[in-house]
This record gives sequence, C-alpha cells and structure tokens, in this order.
Amino acid sequence: MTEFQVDAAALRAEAPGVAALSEPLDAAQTAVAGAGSVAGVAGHELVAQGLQAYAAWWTQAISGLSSSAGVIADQLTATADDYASADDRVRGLLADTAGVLAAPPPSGGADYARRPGGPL
Amino acid sequence: MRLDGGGGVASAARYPRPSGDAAALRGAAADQRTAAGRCSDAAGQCRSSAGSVGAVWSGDASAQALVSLNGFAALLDEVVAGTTTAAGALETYAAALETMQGVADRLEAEHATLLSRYRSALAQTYPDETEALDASWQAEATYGDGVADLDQQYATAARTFDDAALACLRSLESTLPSFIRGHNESLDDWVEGMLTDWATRVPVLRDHMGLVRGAVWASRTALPAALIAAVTKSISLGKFLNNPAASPLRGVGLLGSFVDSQIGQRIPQYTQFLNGELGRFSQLVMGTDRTANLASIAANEGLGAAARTSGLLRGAGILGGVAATGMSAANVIAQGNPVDAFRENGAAYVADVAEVGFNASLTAAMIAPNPVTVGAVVVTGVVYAGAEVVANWDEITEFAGDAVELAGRGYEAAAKAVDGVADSATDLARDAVSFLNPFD
Repeated sequence: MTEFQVDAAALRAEAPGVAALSEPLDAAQTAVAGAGSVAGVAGHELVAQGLQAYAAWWTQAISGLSSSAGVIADQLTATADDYASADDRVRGLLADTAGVLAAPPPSGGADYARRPGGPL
Repeated sequence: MRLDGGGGVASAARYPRPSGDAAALRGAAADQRTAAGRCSDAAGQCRSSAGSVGAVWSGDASAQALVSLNGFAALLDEVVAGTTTAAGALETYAAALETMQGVADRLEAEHATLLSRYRSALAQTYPDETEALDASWQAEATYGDGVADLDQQYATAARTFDDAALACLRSLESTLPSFIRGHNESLDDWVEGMLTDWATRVPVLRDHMGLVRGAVWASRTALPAALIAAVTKSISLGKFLNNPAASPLRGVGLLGSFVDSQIGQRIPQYTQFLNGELGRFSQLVMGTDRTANLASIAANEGLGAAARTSGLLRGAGILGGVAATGMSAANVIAQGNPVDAFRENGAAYVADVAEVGFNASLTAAMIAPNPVTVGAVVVTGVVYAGAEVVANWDEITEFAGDAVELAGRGYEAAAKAVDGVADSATDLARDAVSFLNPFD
C-alpha cells in the first residue's frame, strides 16, 4: 500500500476554482464560434473556408475542455469526500474500539475468565 | 456632326469590389485575442490550483491528479496559441481586404472619369466627318490606354489579395491538428504531415527527427527509384538502337522475340517513331486486335489521354499497378481546380501531375515492355523526377544536412529497391506479355 496524506477539506476547497475555469472557456468558445459566423463576410472563399474549419474545430475542442474542467472539479470533490468519509469511518471505528476497550466487562453475561484450578 | 455617345461601353462595375467586411473581421480577431487572454488566465489559474492541490494531497493518486491538471493547462496553452494565431491572421487579412476594396473603389472612380471624358469627347459637335472621326479615334485610344493601365493595376492588386487570403487560410489551418486535411493539400503532404506529427509525439522518435524525416522522404522516393529502373531500361534501349542483339525484350517470351524481329527489320521506322510518329509505330508493332493494349492506347492517344482512359486504369489494375497510378490520380484530383492548385502548391502540383503520367507509363511498360512504353516512362519519368526534386528541394537539402550518413545508406537501399523493381517489372511483364501474346 502506498503512503499518502490528504487534507480533504483543503482539497475540496480547490474544486470550485477548477470548476470556474469553464466560465472563461465558455466565453472563448463563443468568441471562436463568432469567427465562424463572419465567414460569410470574409470577402474571399479561401478565408471563408479557413474560418469555418477553424471555428468548427476549436468550438468543439474548447467545449470539450470546458466540460473537462467540471469533470476534474467533480473528481477533486469526490476524492475529498471519499477521503473524508473513510477518515470518518476510521475515526468512528477507532472511537468504538476505544470505547469497547475502556468499558467494564458486561455483567450478567457469560463469564469467560478461567477460574483458578478450573477445567480448560 | 455628333457621334454616338459611347453607350456601348458597359456601365456595370468594371473592377469588382470584394464584398467582405473588414470591420467584422477585425472584430472577430479582437474576439480571438480576448479568448486567448481568458484561456491564458485560465491556464495560469489551473497551474495555481495544481500547486495548491499538491500542497494538501500527496501520494500516487495525487500525482495522477497533478498530471491531469497540468495537462489541462497545457491544452489551454494550445487554445491560446491557436486563437492568437487566428487573430493575427485575421488582422493581416482584414488590412489586405481593405486595401483591395480601396484599390477597386479608386480604379472604378478613375474608370468612371475616363469613361466620362470619352463620352464627352464623342458628344461634342464637330465641323465635319473627318474631324469627328479623328476625335473619335483619339478619344478611343486615350480611353483604351487608360483602361489597360487600370486593368493592370487591378490584376496586380487582385493577385496580392489572393495571396493574402491564401496566407490567412494557411495560418488558420496551422492551428488545426494534422489529421484535419488542409484545403487543396495533397494526399502525400497530408499523410506525411500526419506521420511526422505522430513521430514527434513518440519520445524515442522525437529525439531522432532526422531519421524520421529521412524515412518519410525515402518512402516518398520509391517511385523515383522505379524511375532509375526505367532509366536503366532506357540505357538498354539505347544499346538496342545501336545493336538489336542487345534488345531489352530478350527473354520475355514469343511476343518479345516477334517484336524483336519486327523492330530489327524496321529500325528506321522505329527511329521515326521516336521522332514523333507514335501511331504508325503502334500499328507496326502492336497491331490492333488483342495486342491493342495500354501501350497502343498511349501510342495512339498520347500518354495524357491514356492516363484518363478507364481502360488504362483497368489494365493497370490487372497487374496491381492501379495502386500507384490510382493514388497519383487521386492525389492530383484531391488538389481541386488545377489552376488554383498550381497557384497554391506550385512545383509540388507539377510533380503530382507528372507522377500520374509516370505511373501510368510505368504500368504500361510493365504490361508490355517495349520501346514505346519504356520510352514513355523515360520521358514522363524525367519530367516527374525534375519536378519532384524542385518541389522537395528544401526537404532534400534538409535531409542531406541532417543525415548524410543515412543518405548513403538510403542510396544503397534505393539501389536494392531498383533491383527489386526491375525484377518485379520483368516478372509482371512476362506474365502480361504471355497473356497478350497473339501466338499462344
């Protein structure tokens, strides 16, 4: 097992910043799509074709990146949640264990202590 | 007396103004720069987040996450580069568009002035017919000279504008990944671009780009290697002209022997054929029935027509030569209108066109290796090789500079390839000649 350290709360706090990257990317996507829309007033067929190809490719590419920002942010949040959840469970288990160890033997129940001279 | 008022001169715009909107293009360019700025900020933010994540999370999973975040930032850098390039290209083109529109407007105005003067001269009243005719000729000459000058200015401006549009297109295309085929890009260039791009992504190959370029270059020179084989045959052909016993057709079956004997008797006619009488030689040697094969098509119609003949491609397919010929034809067709393609690709287009003829003639030579077809291979091959060298000069010199030693090895490999091609051609020819032999 590999060692790791994580501050789940701090990690979770980073997720919104990554998710927010989709905002400028969405604006960039709009701008790139706008380049395609001026193909009609390019004044030259070659430039019109170039603009259409440029806009088609980059609109798609930036759209993918924008979605990716959300996916990465979700992954960070999920990871932080998983670590925190595991941490809580471990902490709970440790607490339970400590409680069991600290508690006196139950009365009225079976007594498993071997008596001196008694049979095994 | 009054003359006709010049009503026959066209009143429509003589110098068409490109209908583009430079302001809109500049606006789009500004948008691209804004997009680049935003994406640059986003990339910085992403790297900052990667640093923060690395500070609060360590281990294997963290390392993977950091790779993802930094990789994402690198992709944003790609967007920045692409949009910045596009912005620059659009700004430059917008300026060229405005210039062209200004020139068109100015020339149109100057033409209107010329036309007005011309019509005024014709509208004047003259004392007699002689003077009126003199005035008419003078006005017409002045108008004609002026228009010729304006036409010249417009043509020059239009060429500059076309070049600017092409440069803009190339810049926009340069932002796209290599697997998107460019406008009128030849299939060879497209495939080579993909191969090179792929090679740069492989760490081992990336460190040996000279080798990669050499390999790609060598793969494109397989046909010139076949050309060397054809030249070798032509040397045999030359010997044959001096000594029929050295015929390149020796050992290719009954037809070869028959053709040998016929040619041996008719060397004067053969020489005449080489001077241009293709049809006569075709009838003399090849006949018109079963032997009316590709070589006779080429001989009767010329290689250019033969290359467009479905029969040629069908015949080439029988021997497998359709692959090379078909690919060459597709390569030329893919580049679209020949005039535009030549303008865009220059010598490379000439090489591609020549390649079609060369492959077609080489295929014909394989089917029936006789002086007609072999001679055709030599002619088309020389044109092709010359054009190919011109088109790839930078690449060839770069290749030589990067890997002189490799070039030496490549030469040896090419020599072996020539032997292979020659052997293969002989085998194929034997089969074909056997198939075509009217004396079987």
